[in-house]
Order: sequence, then structure tokens, then C-alpha cells
Amino acid sequence: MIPRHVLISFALLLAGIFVLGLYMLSLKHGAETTTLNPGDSAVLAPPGSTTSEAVTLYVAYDDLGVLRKRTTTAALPGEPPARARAILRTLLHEYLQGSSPHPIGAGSDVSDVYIVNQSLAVIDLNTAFADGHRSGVWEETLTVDSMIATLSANMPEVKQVKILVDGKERETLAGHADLITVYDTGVVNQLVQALQ
Amino acid sequence: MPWNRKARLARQFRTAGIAVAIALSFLVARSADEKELTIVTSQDHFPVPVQQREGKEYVDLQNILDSMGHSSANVEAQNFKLHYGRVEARFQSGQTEAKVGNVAVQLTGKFLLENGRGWVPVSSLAGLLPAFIGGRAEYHEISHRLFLNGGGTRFSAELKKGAPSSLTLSFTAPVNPRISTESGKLRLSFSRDHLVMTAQSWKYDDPLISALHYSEDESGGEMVIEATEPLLANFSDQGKIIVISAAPKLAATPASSEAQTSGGTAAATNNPPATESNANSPVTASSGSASLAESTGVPHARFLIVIDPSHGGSERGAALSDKIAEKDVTLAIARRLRAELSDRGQATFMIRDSDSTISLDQRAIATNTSRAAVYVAIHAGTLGNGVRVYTSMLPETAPAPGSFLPWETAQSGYVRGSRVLAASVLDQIGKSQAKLPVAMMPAPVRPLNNIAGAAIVVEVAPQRGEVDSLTSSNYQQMIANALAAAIVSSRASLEQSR
Repeated sequence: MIPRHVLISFALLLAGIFVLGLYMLSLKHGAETTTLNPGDSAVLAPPGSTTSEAVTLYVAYDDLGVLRKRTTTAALPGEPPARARAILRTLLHEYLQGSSPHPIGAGSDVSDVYIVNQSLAVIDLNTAFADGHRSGVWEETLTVDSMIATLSANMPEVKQVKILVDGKERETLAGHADLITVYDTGVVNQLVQALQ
Repeated sequence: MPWNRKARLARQFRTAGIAVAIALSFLVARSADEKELTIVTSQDHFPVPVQQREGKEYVDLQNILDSMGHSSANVEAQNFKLHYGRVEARFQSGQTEAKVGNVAVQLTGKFLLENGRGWVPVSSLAGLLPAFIGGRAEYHEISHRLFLNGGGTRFSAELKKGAPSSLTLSFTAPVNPRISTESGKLRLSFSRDHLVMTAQSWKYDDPLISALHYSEDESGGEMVIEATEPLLANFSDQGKIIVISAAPKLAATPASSEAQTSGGTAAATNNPPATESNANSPVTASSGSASLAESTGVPHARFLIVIDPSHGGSERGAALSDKIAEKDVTLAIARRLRAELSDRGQATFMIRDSDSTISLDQRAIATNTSRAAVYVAIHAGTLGNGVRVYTSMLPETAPAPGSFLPWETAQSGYVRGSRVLAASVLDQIGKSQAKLPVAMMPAPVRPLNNIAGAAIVVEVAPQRGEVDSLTSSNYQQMIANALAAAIVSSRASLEQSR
């Protein structure tokens, strides 16, 4: 004869197992419905710190020899260095397209941007950018001017720009455009006005 | 209590500061006393510390052997037994004789035993080390270098007589000397290389190069080449060959023409042709495979025009097509411009007149030391048509009254003159029969910002979009004509603003 209290305990344990099983099934179902689509894996920053905003680009057109103002939208982080990098990468994205009006080398990217004293932006380009860039005064000038003008249009607090390649100072971009100098965004913007 | 804590903190800071100062002064004093012997083998070179003992320089023998292999030592009373490979050596403290294997070696001073380490005089190493490692050793006392088993770089010198003569220096390994000049001499200092040669002199019966002297000092080897004219050094074979030859001379300007174009205000004797004014000052490359006047060899004329054919040598510039390199087009146009300016009686200087590599800084240095009135850099590109003229992006300022200018903004005081010159080029090209499109704008082109004088960059684009036109003699001549006319027509304005 099984004691009564043992039977009651056994029944309670079975009931508990059943309830926990149901709870686990509901958790699994919830997790499956919130899983990201694999195609959405290119998130660059945690949700909440990035918002989609209008970005002003100064896009170079080689055939016309001009810089044209264009507005697009992009996810921009709030922190100034990350924001500056996202802005410049949006511009480079334009140049890396097959139908680019100002082609740049494959793999070109902005490795990092540092903001010093809230007014000096130090842009660190990757090696592929400089090594793959077409050589020529005009080609290189358009690239440098469009990057500085784009950064300045979206971050007016940036007053000076210095360009590095792979973390190091480089004399020229591809034999012509000066990368030793620290660019004054006001001077570049005046030039860009004339080039529009 | 807080006051006590502050006082204690300040005392601790003060004590720490004194300790750091003592440590630093100890380190400085120690580093000043320390000497090194550089041991050069055929594969490597390494320094070993040298210490003074009994008025002689001593080294730790085991330290050297450990740098080349593995050694072990046993110390018994005053006896020191050293094993290196299969070789056993016996030393006795205070004695000047040692036995290495079966060979008795005489030391140049007493063997010293200190803290279980055996110290021998540096000057004994040339006789001692071959007994351990075989081969031979050569000790250079002046440069504190010990060459083992063929280590170090040797050279030979060959004078090739001709018009002009050249001196070819062939080295057994790449070298990277520092080059400097003084009146009638070109000096190459090999402090970064390990030349194994001993002091020698060669005399030449040649009108250009009269002698080559090689000597050693504490920093290494030094070569001095005596000559009657400015020289330049060309590097080839990845630094294993240096050819010393006469520096190219600048285009001579007839003195009478100079006087005429300056309105007859200057006497011909006051404006001698620039080539003559520098006949005795050497010209050299500062480093690498260059061939440019750096400072003393650059001419001085009252209104000197420096023409810079951009790129050159290993720096090809833009690939204008599969066959056309920018460096070749720029040189061709620059030569035509020089000829046009010379025809107009202007003094000119070409930054390069051959396919040589010259850095951007060297171009600016040569221009500034010549106190050039005008600097014209020639470029070529494939985008667009016609000619684009660039000036510096620096803001215009008044010329600085002092002698020194900040390198990165040296152009600031000359921006107005540069714009005058650029506008004149626009005007002249606009007047040309070809009706070429021409534009003028500021651009960030090196080395414009570093030039202390009116400076422009002229980028020649294809005529009617045809890249082959860049090599057309007609097209190049037309541009050279327009540029020469522009420079001459703006001369008066530029002279006023200087």
C-alpha cells in the first residue's frame, strides 16, 4: 500500500512538469517570432544609438568637373566620430557603385575618424583607398574636396580636416593631392561653391 | 586632519620626484659612459657592451659567443673553462695567455674574471675569435667594429673617362649613405652601413674628378670625392651602385638678353649667367636614387624661373594610357618651355632633365634656395580637355619680413603673385589659335604650399579628349609657347610684388 502523502507529492510533481513544459514551449515560440531575418545582419550599431537621417553629399562628377549637392538618408550614430565615419562611408558608397560619376578603387573605406577638440576631424582612410585611387591632380582634388565638403555640410562644427592613410601620414593621395596639410573647411567650401 | 593628509601627500610627491631625478641622472651618466663594439658577420651585425678595465677596453667573451651560438663556462678558483661547440678554451685570471683548443693565443692584456664571467681586451678579439669559430676577423679600432668571416660591405671605384667623366662605386651590398656637399667636395657618410675597407685614397688625372678619399671615424666610413664642378649621385641596382657624375647645368641666359628684358636697368656684369655663378659649388642628391640640386648647387639669378617636370624615375605619375606615362609627357613639355623661355632671354632652371626620382620636398628646397621668382610645375592628366592652372589654397597674407618662413605655409606671402601668373597663363592660352579650354582654381597640390615665390601647377589635359594628343609635338609646343609668353608678360608685375 502506497502512503497517501507520497501519492499526493507524485501528482504535484507531474503537474509541475506539465506546467513547466507548457511554459518552455511558449518561450520557444516567442524566441522564434523575434529572430532576425539573416539578410538583416548588416547592422552596424546597436539599435537605439542609430537613427536614419538626411545626409548632404557633395558628389564629384569627373566628366563635368563639378561637385553636385545631393541629399540621401543614412543611419547615423550619435557619437561624432562614428557619425563622421558613417557620413563619409555614405559618400564612398556612391563612388563605389558601378555607375559612379567618380570611381574609386575597390575596397576603399574609411577606417576611422577621430574628432579632436570638437573641431578637427582626422580621417583615417584604408590603404586600398589610396593605393587604388586614380592618379591625377583633378581626380585627387575632386575626391579630397568632396569628402571635406560632405563632412562639413553635415557636421558644421568641424572646421579642420586632416587625412591619414592606414593610420599614418602620407605625402599625397596618389601623387598629387596634398595629405600633409590640415585642410580648412571654410577654404574648401568656398572652392566647392565655385565648382558647383 | 585634511591639512595633515595634504602635507603628507606633498611630501610623498617630493620624495618620488627626487627618486625619479636620481634615477634619470644615473641612467644618463651610465649611457654616456657606455661604449659598444659592433660585431659584423656575413649574415648579421650586433652590438656588445664595452667596459674600461685597467686602462683598456674589455668585453665579455661569453656574451659575444652566445650571440653567435651557445657557450657554457666553468669557473674553478682562478681558472675559467669555456666551451663553444666542440672547442674548449682555458683562461686564467690575470694571465695574458690562453689556450683555445690546441692553439695558444696571446692576449693584448690580462684576462679578467668577474662574477663568473670572463673578460678579454677588445683588441684581442681579432686573434681570439677565429680560434673559436674559424675563419678570420678584422678589427677596426677607430669605428669600433669587428668584422668576422667576410662580414661587412666592400666597394670598388672605377673612373670612366669621357665627356663628362663619371665615377662608379660598386658595393657588395646595398648602401644608404648620407650625402652632403661643400665647396669642391661631395661627401658620403656610411654611418648606417658597415664598410670593411681601411683608409685609402685614389688620385685621378681627370678634369672633373680629381680624387677619392676613404677614411673611418667613430660613426663609420666616410668617402670624400674631390671635383672641379658640381656633382650628383645616382643610385642603381637597389643601392649597390652609385654613379657620381657632373650635375646637369641650367639653361644659360645671355646676359645681354637678361638686361634687355629687365628694361635695361641692370648691367650685364651684375647679372652674370647663372651657370657661371655656380661653377664651383657642388650639387648632389640628398638621398635615394635622386639627381637634383639640393641647396648649394642651385643657381641664383635676379629673375629665375624654375620649371618642374613632375614625377620621374620610379614615380611614374598618372598612367595616361597603356604606353604613355605622365612623367614622360611632363618632361617633354618642360623641355619645350625651357627652350621657349631661353629664346625670350629668361634664366631658367629645370628640376630634372632626365628620368630621375626626386621627392616633392627636394623640389621645393631647390626652388627656395635658388630664390626663384617663378615656379611652374607641369602635370598631365586624362580628365577633360585643355589646360587647368592651379594655385595654392592658402589664404593670402603679406610677405613675411624675416628670413624664416613656416615650411607648410611658405607660399602664403606669394599667393597674390601666383594668381597674377595664373591669370596671365589663362590670358595667353585664351589668345592661342587652338582656343583650348582653360580653367584656373586653387587646389591642394604638393609642393605648392612650400614654395616661397610665385608658384603655379599647370595640368595639361588632352586636346579634344584624345589622350594621344598629349604626346603630340604641336600640342606640347603650343602650350609651351603660351606658358612662356604668360611668364614673360607677367614678369613686370611679379618683380614689383617681390
